[in-house]
Amino acid sequence: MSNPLPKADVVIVGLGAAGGIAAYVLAQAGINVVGLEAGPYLDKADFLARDDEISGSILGWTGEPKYNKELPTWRPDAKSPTASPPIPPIRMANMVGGTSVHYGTQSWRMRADDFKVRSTTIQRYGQEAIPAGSTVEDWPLTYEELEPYYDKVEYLIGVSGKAGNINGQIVEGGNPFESPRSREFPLPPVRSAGFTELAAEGMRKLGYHPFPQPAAILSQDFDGRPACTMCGYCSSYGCWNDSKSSTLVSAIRHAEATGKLEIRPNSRVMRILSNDKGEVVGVEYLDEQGQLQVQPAGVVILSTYIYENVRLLLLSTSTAYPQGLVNNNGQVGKHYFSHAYVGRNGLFPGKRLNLWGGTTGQATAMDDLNGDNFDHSGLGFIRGAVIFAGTGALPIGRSRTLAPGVPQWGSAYKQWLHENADSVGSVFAQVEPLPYEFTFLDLDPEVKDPLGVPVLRVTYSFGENENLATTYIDEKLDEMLRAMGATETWPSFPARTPVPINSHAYGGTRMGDDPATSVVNKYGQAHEAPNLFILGGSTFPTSSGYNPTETIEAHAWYAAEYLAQNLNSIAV
Amino acid sequence: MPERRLPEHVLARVIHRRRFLRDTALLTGAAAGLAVPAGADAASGAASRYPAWLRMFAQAAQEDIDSYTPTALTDAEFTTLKAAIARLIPADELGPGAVEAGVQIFIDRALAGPYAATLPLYQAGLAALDQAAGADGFSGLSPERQDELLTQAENSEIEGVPQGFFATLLEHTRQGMFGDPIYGGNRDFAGWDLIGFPGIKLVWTEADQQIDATVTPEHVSVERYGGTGW
Ligand SMILES: Cc1cc2nc3c(=O)[nH]c(=O)nc-3n(C[C@H](O)[C@H](O)[C@H](O)COP(=O)(O)OP(=O)(O)OC[C@H]3O[C@@H](n4cnc5c(N)ncnc54)[C@H](O)[C@@H]3O)c2cc1C
Repeated sequence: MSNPLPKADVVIVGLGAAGGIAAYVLAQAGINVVGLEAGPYLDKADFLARDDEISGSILGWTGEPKYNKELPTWRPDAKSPTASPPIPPIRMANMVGGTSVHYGTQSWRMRADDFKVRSTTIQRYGQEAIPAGSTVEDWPLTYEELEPYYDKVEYLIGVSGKAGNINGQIVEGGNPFESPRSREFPLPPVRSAGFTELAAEGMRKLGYHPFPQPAAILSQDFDGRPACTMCGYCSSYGCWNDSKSSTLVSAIRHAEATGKLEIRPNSRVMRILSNDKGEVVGVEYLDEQGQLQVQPAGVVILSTYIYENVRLLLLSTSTAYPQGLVNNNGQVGKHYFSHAYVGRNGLFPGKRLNLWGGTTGQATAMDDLNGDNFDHSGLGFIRGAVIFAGTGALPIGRSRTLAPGVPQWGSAYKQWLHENADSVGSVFAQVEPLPYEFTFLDLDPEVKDPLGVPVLRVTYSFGENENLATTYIDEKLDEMLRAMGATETWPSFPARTPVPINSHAYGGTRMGDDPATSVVNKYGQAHEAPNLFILGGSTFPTSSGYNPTETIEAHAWYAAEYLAQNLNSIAV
Repeated sequence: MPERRLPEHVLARVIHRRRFLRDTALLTGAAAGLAVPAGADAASGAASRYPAWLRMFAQAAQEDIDSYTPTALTDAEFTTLKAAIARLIPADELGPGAVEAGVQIFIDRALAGPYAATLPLYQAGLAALDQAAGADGFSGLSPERQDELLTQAENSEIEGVPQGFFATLLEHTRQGMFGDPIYGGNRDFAGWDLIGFPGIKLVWTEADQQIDATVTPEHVSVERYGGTGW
């Protein structure tokens, strides 16, 4: 091992969505930041050369440096052996910008009641409505506290959308259910397509309130980057045009320009180091040449996505932390949960939908069945789902999207695909699940990655709440597709089926006011080691139905600003 | 509506393809065990981090369909593979089938690369098909008889056909047929034309995105943009 490198004010481990925003806020404040990123530093030309479905959706080249080789194992419950998960793991990216480089750009704020699931449920439906065994808690943070940071993120990275509520005034054309925002989006919504308009009509027929989905992709030129040209290679693909508002082309680009952020790509952190007083003192990492280095730091920010966040804590044992870093209360790995999905395809015979083009950001969304926006009395479950219908289809995916009863091969298969490959439109729902006593993360006692480091083990199943919620939403999706004109519908993603290893996974380092039942406070600051910050979905007490990234980014901003203002008292 | 002009960096890439050449050189270097020089630019650092399967598809699209020599499978296995995928996606009045589109080249390359772990599954499955076919082997049977055997394989009714073989073969056949031609299949965009996918089309106008609008096939593979098949 080499001698320790010069001490950094702050080391950020993982420069993805969360780490990228934190780097920006700290660098802007004039703080010297070292960003250690396990993956490479790439650009739009690299992404253009990989606009193909085999390397992107199928082989997942973006996760090859690390994530694909350390996939967590899964078991349904603590009594069962590990097994292959009902849905294959969804893959994250390793590179500067993290998974924001290949994400789908759906960019949501949570709503006020999403931060208070426990209390609002008890208030409306009584204590007994909280499902047995669920450890669900309110956030220690309110929508009102986070609103300014959502706003800052939207204006920094470039988010397109239509406001539905500005300072309490309902605005025509937006989401009537959203919580008040302080001003309009920086960019108008992504334009509609034939299919998203068809979807909006169908939803309206059923009395719902569709609106253009907010998206972190440019509907117009912004910050020196061109508007999206709807190439169709979006979710699971890096953007060849810099139109996708990843942290790579927004926060990180600006942070690097300050001269305060030093990015070290291809640098994998192996351990976080702590002293006998329990303070964090730096990290140990494998550099680009494969040499082990020690990087001392006054503050460490851990933002490597949920599975690696928890894994690194559990691996970083020391005299002060025999059960893993900041885990003397045994809370690291607890309260895990993973977004539930339900999807349906509908056949629109004889119609060419022209879904090959587009972006995942181009969609009609609705919130009528999300959160507590509808009465759950008698339904047997709490919370709901955001629902959307969008564009962007790729050929291999379509070659598997067959209506029930269609032959899987042979000339009849060819004939059906020829006639219908572009006549299938889909609606998709993300259902809010709850954490339970029986859902958690720990180190796998047997399976190791190629460097010999134990991988994480996920213990996860749905409760009855999630089974009922997904079934209910699935029925609504069927109605919706039929209202849009589909002649038959079938599941693209079945109800009652968890995604144990997910790109929308939560908990494990939960935030809370009570150090006995959480790992970090509302600033992402570890209760047991105040110079360690943990960012990302691992801190979320609840998820809402929405995709998480804008909330991850807003919270990262909120946390980094607090750190910047209090660096002298926090740093060791 | 006028087409948006492609951004400069795309045009530069299409014309010069400098990075393509540099990446290829690096990949070859990595294959020969040469270290990527320290301090090389970001993309070269990246190249050194990406796996060996990056190289496996190089030139796959240029291989001659009739004279291709398999690398992962034996000649006999390759013959059976071709006969099987010719039934999964047959040549018919709608156009070329899997074999004419080169899907067997994709599968063989993949079995020598990213799908190496499934090679034993193929070996066992193809052998079991031949075994069930009798003296002439699977490729010697009539198409009707081949379809019967494949249906039995699909329903796990043939002794020796391992669990998952048929589903894997079908999935890989679809990947080859409908994936980018750079991987060796989808020759002359046969798969994409069949289902109306126009090829990589970087700009979709508002008019293109309307229901029932006609979109002309552009027949563009990622190869045009410096893709090397990874
Ligand atoms: C296909 C796909 C589509 C998605 N679409 C959407 C969407 O439309 N909307 C949305 O809100 N969310 C979406 N997501 C989820 C979104 O990507 C995540 O919410 C977000 O990226 C999480 O941010 P993060 O910073 O926690 O992790 P990441 O962005 O993944 O960043 C973590 C970084 O840490 C690095 N790292 C890991 N381990 C180490 C280590 N030991 N040392 C150093 N560095 C390390 C990684 O390489 C990575 O770069 C999608 C995800 C996927 C996979």
